[in-house]
Amino acid sequence: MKTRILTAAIAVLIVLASCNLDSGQGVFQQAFNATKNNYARIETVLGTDEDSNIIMVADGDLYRFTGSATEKIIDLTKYNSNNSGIVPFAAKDGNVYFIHNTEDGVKMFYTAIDKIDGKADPEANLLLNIAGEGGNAVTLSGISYPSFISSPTIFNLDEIQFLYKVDGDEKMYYGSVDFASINGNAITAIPGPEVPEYSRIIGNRILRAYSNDSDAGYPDSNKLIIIESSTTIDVTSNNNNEYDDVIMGSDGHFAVDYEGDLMKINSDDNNLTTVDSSFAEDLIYRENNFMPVYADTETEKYIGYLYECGIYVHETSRTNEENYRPSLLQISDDNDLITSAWIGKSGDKYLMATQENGFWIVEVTGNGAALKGSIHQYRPDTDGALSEYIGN
Amino acid sequence: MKKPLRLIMLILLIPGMLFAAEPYYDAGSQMFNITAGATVPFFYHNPSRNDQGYQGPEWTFWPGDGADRTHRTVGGVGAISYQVFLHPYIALGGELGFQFDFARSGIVGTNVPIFVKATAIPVQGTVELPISIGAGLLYASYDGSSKITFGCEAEIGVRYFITDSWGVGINVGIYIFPELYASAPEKMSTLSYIPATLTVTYRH
Repeated sequence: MKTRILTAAIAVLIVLASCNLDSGQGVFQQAFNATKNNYARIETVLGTDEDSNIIMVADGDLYRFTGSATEKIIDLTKYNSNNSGIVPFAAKDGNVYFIHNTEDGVKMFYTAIDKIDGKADPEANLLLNIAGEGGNAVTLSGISYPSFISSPTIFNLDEIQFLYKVDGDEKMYYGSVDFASINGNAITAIPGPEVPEYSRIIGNRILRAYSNDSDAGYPDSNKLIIIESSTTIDVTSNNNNEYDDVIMGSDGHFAVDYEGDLMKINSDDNNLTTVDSSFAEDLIYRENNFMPVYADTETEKYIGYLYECGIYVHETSRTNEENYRPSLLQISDDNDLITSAWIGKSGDKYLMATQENGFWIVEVTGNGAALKGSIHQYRPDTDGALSEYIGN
Repeated sequence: MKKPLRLIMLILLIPGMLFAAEPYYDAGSQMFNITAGATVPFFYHNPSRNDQGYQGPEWTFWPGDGADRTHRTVGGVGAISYQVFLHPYIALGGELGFQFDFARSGIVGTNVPIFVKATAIPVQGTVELPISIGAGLLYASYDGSSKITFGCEAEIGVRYFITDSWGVGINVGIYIFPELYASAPEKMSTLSYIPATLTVTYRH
């Protein structure tokens, strides 16, 4: 009798719980995604404010990073639905610049950071002087799915890259804005070449293009498009899946496939050539993404980051086949949490923004066999202002 | 008879031999357990991890903060259970538990299972071999968020009765806690633990 009462009571509770199965906040996911510092998940660094704080998109919203905490400036999710909404794309001279994607087309506006007060006002400070190269007006009638928010489009704060359509034309184009040209209410957009409609910016002037009949997450076929050299590489031409889902270095020089093989773009036949078959660990869960690479022209190094593996450094002087592969520096810190990132520069120190644990300072010294690297989490008291590393 | 065949026959006969022993319990006997121990996060499965912009494997295992770990620490668990024997070898009842551990943020996460629990005791008397399965409700909470969902467990142990009524035992098992949503699959994920516990049992 007691057992029956007990089981009946639990059965009633189960029925009640079943009726209310949609309540709850994704408790396990919240706990899993929480980080040591409880930073918001960094997506794109937009620039700095006048107090040298980083302004960035994180968790889909506009955030300020003060050096020790992330503070939400605007809850952008309330403005966004599907492919429309308000997207910040730059922070400079005390202003944040936004794209407002509407059914009537795309507008740009800006707001002084200290006057934002928790909301974006697309009717204020409209940017009327959006001019293409040579003075031809460029009307942006749509920002490419899904790139602008979900894909990093700012790689070095010199240039903002985007995909767009022109009024009355269904074709998709690549375009860019020179960061230096942003000046108050004037922005110069530079129109670029036509690209396939199912494209996504995955690196510095590098696109990934999918076949029309594929779904965006798992394309049946896809191509890499290098804007700089007008090169298109079919990465599904091999049936062995070797190139099916490569991760492209944002420098445009290297790619890593999901087996961890390092490849370089072969300019002779527009294909990928494996230069190291045991370069990295399995990267299968880095779906359709890029690894951030910073090109340091002063030291002639490309410095990149590999998830879970460490930092790779490629010296541009190493050009022949035998020593073409970059050096991979194992970093022992908590770097397995570093994923999407943006890299800035200050002398031999580099700033790396990470997905989950804020900003890190990377130091790379030496050359050749003497190459050394280290990484530590950014400390505002000893590392100085973050803006010093960005230099915009 | 060939040796391998004899061995197989022997293995197949063992359960029958165990049950053939004189049972200690009668239908209607009761059992009360107090359990405490540690939990090790076994796996965490979030099929939406990459869709949500967090890069990493959908399946992660064991405690730790790495990309392939569960982002949980080793934690603790306590439970009380009351069962009545429906059959000399099988008891049915309920269990109320409390499990906790810490997420990567350092904030505690808790799970309260309220399970119907069935236990088979093929070896019984002074030394017992309880094998249990349970299922029911789970109340999960973390940092002000909470969810009532379902869970299940399986457990095996061994216990020794110091007196006729009081015994102590050790157990190991598995908890599986799926966080279910009817129309919000993006919030679903599943957490699993391996509990290793000590139990004090009173039987009557």
